[in-house]
Amino acid sequence: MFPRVYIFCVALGVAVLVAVTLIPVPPFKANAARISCAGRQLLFESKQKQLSMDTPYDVVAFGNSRILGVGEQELDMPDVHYFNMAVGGTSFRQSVAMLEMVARQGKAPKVAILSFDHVSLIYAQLPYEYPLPPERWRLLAGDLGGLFSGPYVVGPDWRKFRQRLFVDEPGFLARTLNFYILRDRLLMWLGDRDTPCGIAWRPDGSRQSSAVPSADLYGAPVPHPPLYDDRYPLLEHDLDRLAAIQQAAGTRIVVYESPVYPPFADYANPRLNPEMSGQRERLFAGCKARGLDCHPSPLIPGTAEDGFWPDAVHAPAKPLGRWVAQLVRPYFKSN
Amino acid sequence: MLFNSPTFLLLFLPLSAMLFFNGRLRRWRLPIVVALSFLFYDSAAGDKQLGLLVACIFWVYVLSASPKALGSKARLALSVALPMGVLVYYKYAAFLLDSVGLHNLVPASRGAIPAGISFYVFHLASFAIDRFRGDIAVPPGRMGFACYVSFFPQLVAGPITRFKQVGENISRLADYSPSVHSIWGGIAMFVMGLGAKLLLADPLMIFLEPLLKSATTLDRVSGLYLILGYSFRIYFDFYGYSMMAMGLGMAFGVPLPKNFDRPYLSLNPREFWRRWHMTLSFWIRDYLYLPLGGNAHYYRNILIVFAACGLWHGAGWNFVVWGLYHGVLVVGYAWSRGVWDRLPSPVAQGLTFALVSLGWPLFALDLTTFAGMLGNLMTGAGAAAVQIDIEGWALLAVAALVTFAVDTDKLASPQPGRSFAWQQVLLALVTVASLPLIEGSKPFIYFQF
Repeated sequence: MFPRVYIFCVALGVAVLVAVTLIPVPPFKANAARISCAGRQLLFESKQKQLSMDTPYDVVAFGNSRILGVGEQELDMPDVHYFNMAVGGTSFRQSVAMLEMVARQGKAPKVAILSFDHVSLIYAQLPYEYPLPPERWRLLAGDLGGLFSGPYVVGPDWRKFRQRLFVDEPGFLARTLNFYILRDRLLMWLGDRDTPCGIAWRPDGSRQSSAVPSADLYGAPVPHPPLYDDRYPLLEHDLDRLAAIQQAAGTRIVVYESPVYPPFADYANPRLNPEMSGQRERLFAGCKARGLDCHPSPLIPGTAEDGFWPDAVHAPAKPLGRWVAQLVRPYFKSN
Repeated sequence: MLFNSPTFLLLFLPLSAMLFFNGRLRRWRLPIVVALSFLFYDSAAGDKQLGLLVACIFWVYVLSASPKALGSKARLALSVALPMGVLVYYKYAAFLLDSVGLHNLVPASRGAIPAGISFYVFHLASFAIDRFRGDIAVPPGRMGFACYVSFFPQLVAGPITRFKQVGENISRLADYSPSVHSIWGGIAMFVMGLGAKLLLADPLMIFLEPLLKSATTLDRVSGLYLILGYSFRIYFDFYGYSMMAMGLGMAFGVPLPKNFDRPYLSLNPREFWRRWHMTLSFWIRDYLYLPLGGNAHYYRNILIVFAACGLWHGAGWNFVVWGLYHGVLVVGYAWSRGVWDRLPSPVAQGLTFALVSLGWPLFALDLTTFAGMLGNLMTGAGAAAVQIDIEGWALLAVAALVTFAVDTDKLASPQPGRSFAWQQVLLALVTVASLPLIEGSKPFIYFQF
């Protein structure tokens, strides 16, 4: 009664599922509107594919929704070949991983600009969403090494890593065969590529805001949420990785702290937990020590001309684009 | 970590199998299973909860395994005092005190309700009572007892086993020789359970969630979908867990008692409770109903045990009302038996299913919301027609078909001859269809009890 048929059928079924995971996703520019509906995994993949197909870009922006609105139009540097790699909801750690992947493909840009979330948002240190196993195991091994050498690593960081190893990572392994990802990949391959999801994505990888606020926060009062803290033991490790790319690929790494609504910054900054203000200090000290070009957040007021703040943590795209341009312009003297 | 989680399926289960089936570690099987069970519990439960479990096991063993435990009421009381105290403190104290107007007396630092506490306390209590009664003449060793209580397939959501049902197999774990029959039987049950959870229970919840959120304003069609959908959802969720537990028990050498016997085919409410969560029903019968006097005070005792059964499920008036509702159904059946038993089988089945299903939303709704939903269902006053896609109705139809027309237990039991090949194909299909749904699968409903 050995279940040969069962084993054969399951193996066959798994092979079919794995085959679906190997179906390539079209590059981002091929159909930005459709791909952007398909979830983060395929969005990352298609943006990465876009970069791997094109000639190396001059400037590539990495980050999450806080920089996603910055497109060619906002950057306003006509001679600069620009792409926005940002994907909403992802972390600074993810940006570092994406830049590494792009660099490994030999497509590192001249300037990589990375948005680092305001420390009170405890966003920068969130785990990687992409890539899925087995590629992400390289990142896992790197992080393990980073924990061994990290100067700020304490016991709870190891416990958190254990949680990641035994709970989160098996989840990512299961995600390789996730139904929704497989379905979207298959649908795109079968030709269902023309169903936009209503979000105005642009071929340069950026996303145009769908709402135009008539006043800062639509006239709502400044939020005063409780401020949490979360450790970022691998910050130095991540800065080391950026420095390594800068050295190996010649890419200039520019990091800036993402601006928040000025009255919110006035509320949050004095109330920061020592752990979080320490993180900010470690970021700038670490950048300086490694020759990375890091900048504190700019002060961006909402105006009728430049646009208002839709909420307290997403700056209007136009002045943010101007700020980004100001940071990268020194590396393109002709502009 | 639950049976449907990636950690269990991709790490814990392969590791457990490697250690358990390693011939060279054979004589260490019992401590290995205990260690694995504690590891399983530690990752499934919250902070410090493993300590509570171990303390309860130790306490009950010391007091009840002694020869002095036979016939000693004092020892019995002392033995069950700690686990029952833990159960009351963590699960019921806040509810009971709130109910008499004493709020916030239980410190918030107490933490969450320990995972599976209602299940392991019932294991411990049954052992202590059986020892008191002399039903367990020879107590197990410490490791055997720890294994009986903490055996990972049944630790957090049952089945609720008695020591007499599993003790012998636990004591002979080192001699257990896995056969193709036991391994395949275990895999088949596990796969069937996984399929019930991932292919039916979880997808149904996608359609039920918006309905539960607006339960007080639903129109009749949506309200009906909620009642039927939740009925199938809870069935496949708990049936799925139980099948996975039984499959693991079989493969790991300790077959567990059956917990379901196609309960929605029951012809009356009393039969339903002999076929639904059978190990709980039998526990309550043996350790509560019969000591209360059993049939001598039938109506009173039925209402008491069903109220207790409701309370076992959760510390809330919705659970108490749910329990009493079932008590009333059983009593009502006893009153009307002459008429009820003459109903044609499909009518009796349909009536039982409808009455049972009507009560299930109490597991997800508070009393006021539930009453509002029922009111709308009866009067048709609800206006919110939550859009239910064609997929939602198709899923409901499939769930009904599987429930009423397919003997899933038979499909999961080893089949001789030619049908063995077809059984394998079917189970392989279920396995492959389930794989893409592992990530994001929801916790089992009974895990919270």
